Amino acid sequence: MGKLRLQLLRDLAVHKWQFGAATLVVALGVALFGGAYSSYQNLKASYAYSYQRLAMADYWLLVDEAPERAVSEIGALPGVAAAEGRIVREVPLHIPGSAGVLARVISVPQERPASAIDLVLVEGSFFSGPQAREVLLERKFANFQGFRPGDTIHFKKGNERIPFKVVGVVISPEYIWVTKSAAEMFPSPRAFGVVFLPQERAEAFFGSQGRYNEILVRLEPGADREVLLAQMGQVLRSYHIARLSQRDTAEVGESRRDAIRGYRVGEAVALKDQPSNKMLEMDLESFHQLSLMFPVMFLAAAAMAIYTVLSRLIQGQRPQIGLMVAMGYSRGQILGHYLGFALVVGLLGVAVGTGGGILLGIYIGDMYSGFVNIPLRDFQVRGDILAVGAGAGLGVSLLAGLVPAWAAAGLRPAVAMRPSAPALGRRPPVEALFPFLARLSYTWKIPLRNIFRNPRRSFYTAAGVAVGLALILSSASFFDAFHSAIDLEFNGIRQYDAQLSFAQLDSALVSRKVASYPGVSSSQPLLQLPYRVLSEGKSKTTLILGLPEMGSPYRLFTPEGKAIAPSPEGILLTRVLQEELGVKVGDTVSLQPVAGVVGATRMPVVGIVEQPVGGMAFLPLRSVQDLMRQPGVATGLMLELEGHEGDAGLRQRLYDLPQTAAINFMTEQRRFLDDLLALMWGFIGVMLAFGAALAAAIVFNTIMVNTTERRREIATLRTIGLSQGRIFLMATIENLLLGLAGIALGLPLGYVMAVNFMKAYQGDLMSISVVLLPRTFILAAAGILLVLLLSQIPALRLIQRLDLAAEVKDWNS
Amino acid sequence: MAASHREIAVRLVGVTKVYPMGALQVQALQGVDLAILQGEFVVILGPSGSGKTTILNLMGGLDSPSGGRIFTDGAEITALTVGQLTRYRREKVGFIFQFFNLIPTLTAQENVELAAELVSRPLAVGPLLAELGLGERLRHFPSELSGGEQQRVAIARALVTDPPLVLCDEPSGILDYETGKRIFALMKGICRQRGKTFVVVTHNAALGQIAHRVIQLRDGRVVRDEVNPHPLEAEALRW
Ligand SMILES: Nc1ncnc2c1ncn2[C@@H]1O[C@H](COP(=O)(O)OP(=O)(O)OP(=O)(O)O)[C@@H](O)[C@H]1O
Ligand SMILES: [Mg+2]
Repeated sequence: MGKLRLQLLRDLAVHKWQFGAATLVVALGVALFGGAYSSYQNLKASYAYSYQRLAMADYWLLVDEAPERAVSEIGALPGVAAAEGRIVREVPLHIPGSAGVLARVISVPQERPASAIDLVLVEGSFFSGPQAREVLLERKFANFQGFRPGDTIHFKKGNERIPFKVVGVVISPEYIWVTKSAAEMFPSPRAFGVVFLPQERAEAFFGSQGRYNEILVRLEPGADREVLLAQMGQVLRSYHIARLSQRDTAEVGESRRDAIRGYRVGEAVALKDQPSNKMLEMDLESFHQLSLMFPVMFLAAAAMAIYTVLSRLIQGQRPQIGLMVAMGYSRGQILGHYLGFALVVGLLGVAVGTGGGILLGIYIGDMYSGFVNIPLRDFQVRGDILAVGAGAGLGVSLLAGLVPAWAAAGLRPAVAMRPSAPALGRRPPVEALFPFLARLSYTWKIPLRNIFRNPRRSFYTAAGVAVGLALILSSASFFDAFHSAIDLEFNGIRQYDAQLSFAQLDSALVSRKVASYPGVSSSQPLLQLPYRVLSEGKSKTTLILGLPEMGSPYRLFTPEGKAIAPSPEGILLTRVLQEELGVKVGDTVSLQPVAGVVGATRMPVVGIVEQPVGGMAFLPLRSVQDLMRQPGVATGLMLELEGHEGDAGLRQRLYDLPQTAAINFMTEQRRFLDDLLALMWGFIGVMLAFGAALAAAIVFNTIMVNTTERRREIATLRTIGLSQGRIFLMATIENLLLGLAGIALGLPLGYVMAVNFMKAYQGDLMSISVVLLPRTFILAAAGILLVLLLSQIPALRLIQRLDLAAEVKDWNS
Repeated sequence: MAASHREIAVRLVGVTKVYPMGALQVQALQGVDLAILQGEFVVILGPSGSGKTTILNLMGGLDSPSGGRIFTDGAEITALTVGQLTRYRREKVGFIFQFFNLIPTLTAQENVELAAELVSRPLAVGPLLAELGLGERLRHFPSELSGGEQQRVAIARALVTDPPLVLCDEPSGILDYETGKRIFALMKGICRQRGKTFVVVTHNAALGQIAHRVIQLRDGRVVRDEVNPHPLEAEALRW
């Protein structure tokens, strides 16, 4: 055995690059699994841990108004761990030099830790008292705007500027992903921020002492949600809130009678529907997909790499194996000897991969911490996952090695010591199909024949290229899909340059005045309000947009891409909303406000709209005004400005309008989204490196194996007078053809992976279509071909250094 | 002697070849001087390891000597560049190996054509193969041919470029007696009809009887270099 082990080491040393390449592929797979799956678990655990430690709410009861008593009655219900009333309002912030920021002001009780939704202080201190004229700022907003504790911010109330002192910067589990609403998932921190006020100060500020418009409810573990929802509805009913609806379980009221009776309604939003949480779930899901799908492909490639190298080694050592058997080595010893190679590759790959996985996990964790606000981290090196990865890496290596090793152990000495039969020559089937191939020059014909001479290995090479390319394409398609969605949103749908939001419901006539300002090319009123759309027991809270019937700068398109205009005949729904409600054009839906006085209205669905941002509904401006029974109102303006952003004078003039809360410039919004996307480059960088490394390792391996196996032929070609250049050319043609086949396979594979990967982003929040731009494909394909050309360099050098005299007489190659 | 005023095909002057083997040095050739004339059928004999293949490889430009010089028909091959050596092998030399070394993915005809394509004035492939008795085997791959057939394809490949010098290393080494003899008859006939120089390495001393000249090697030295005044026809040979 000692001799055999020495032989193992010697062979490993001789073929170190090939076994090294196989080891690399194992390591990449193990690292990718360890890194990505641990990160998935780390993120999931961190969110859960944050929710648990920071008393994340289970329900948000949105009402127009509920007294303190209602809150304490809900809090006293068995199964409710805590109920907390709060005020949530949107208030314009005055920031000098900015075009206005809309602050979501949230009242926070003084007691710490809060019984529902506690905050994590990252800088500064908590309020000095419940009355203090102080604020806490959400971290992303504070960082973006450059606010620090000690600064002062001003709320805009009519013409007044009311100063508040910033005392701290916080992270809230409710805003791990800072969203404004389900319809506005990516508000730019330039125009939107979350601000926390002391409870009593907020009540005074809004003049609503002892009355809240949101109740946070935290349940005891195991509480019966259905029963509790009914009981909470019961409590609110005694405070004249006729119905508490939850998604999917809303009762449809009788509109006219409800309205006459002045019924009010509320909505219970469950944690699973909370926008930030939903966004995180969506992201986690796509991450989950990736962390399984990609490593599996790597391990499959690793198996093929080990199989290829080891079978080639065994083929070359047949006489030696025969000798070993003749000398009395047992089959088990021979099996063990060759399995030893797979074991070494597997162990090394797993060792390197596990280390790499830990580093990758740390890198991904850091990257994520950069773009989501993880309040409390539960990041750890996940031994169980690393162990699974290591087990899979080792198992796959041994299995892949077992096949050739088993065959080697089964060789009988007489057979083994006979030289292997000459390679079978045959006419590849493609030549029968395309007779012109047979007339090609030898520079093309020999490579073509070589490809079909070992179809399994050729397929494997192409598959290696394909998997590498697919990995790159599917990660790049993430960018393409989001870039295209952003493009569609800003170049197709939103034809206006800025959206001016009113501080409250105001007259649409402001638009006329603004349109006359120099520098404003056009101004159109907009009315948007949260509403519930119901159909046959299904209900969905969404945003209704009231748009001008003619010449709306907010363009609508059908899924077929045709322009469609809002119609007084009925409502337009986005495809996502339509699918969620299970309705079709011609069906009737019921519309009902989310909170406040019931005024349900029935209306037919007249069309379907496709857009990247999920659920929305569209009506003409006037129809929405009718729905609200408030003629002539608007919530803001859509402006077209000269030079897209207007000049400083115009911006100031717009901002100084008493109605203005904030102006959101599309260029800025777009820049914000592009920046957000750019943060993901770290991710694509990793995938690029992994994909390229995979393709390189596999291409290197098969080309080396092919070259070693054909040394004698190549030497013969040289002896009969083919130049080295021509032989390089033939080898390159063969590899390029395999590369092209790999690219042809990789494109659909990458697309399928992208579809899987993007599935997570086709929900009710957003509907991002899978897009793979030709440019991305061409770049990725060119890149992978470059990798292929570089990977064949060692094989070309082998050809260059071939000892002709030795090769032509060597009869065992 | 008739041979004396013929042109020299290959001349070796003080040729040595040393193979480094780790710390050791294997003296494969230790100062060989030889002159082979055009149109001669030369047989090189010698025990295993005596340097026969080494000499052949040096003449064919597959390897370069450690010392000494090699001349052919006007040129010094020991002074050629890599590119010139390729041209030399392509145009001036035909190789025939013990293990045939056909390209397994090419048919008989294609193996020969591949070589033919390399020169400006090759012989016609079809007739050449037919002449070698392979007219029915043109579209067969090497794995579908017998050893003797494969060797005849290899001979066709060596001849198709119409090289003045043909180098053969144990051309009948793995063939049976009859087939081997036929191969030799074939080569001898070609040598005579086409006026080519053949240098044939073999273990088999009996083959010296058909040669114009017999060179005997031992331990990397020429120990005998004799002209055979009455070479036999290959058909008359027995061993
Ligand atoms: N590549 C090489 N490296 C080291 N030594 C070599 C090499 N090639 C040949 N030799 C040595 O050079 C000597 C001559 O070898 P060569 O192949 O010329 O012998 P040969 O006469 O053709 O023998 P055989 O009849 O067995 O083919 C031998 O001792 C051989 O071991
Ligand atoms: Mg020899």
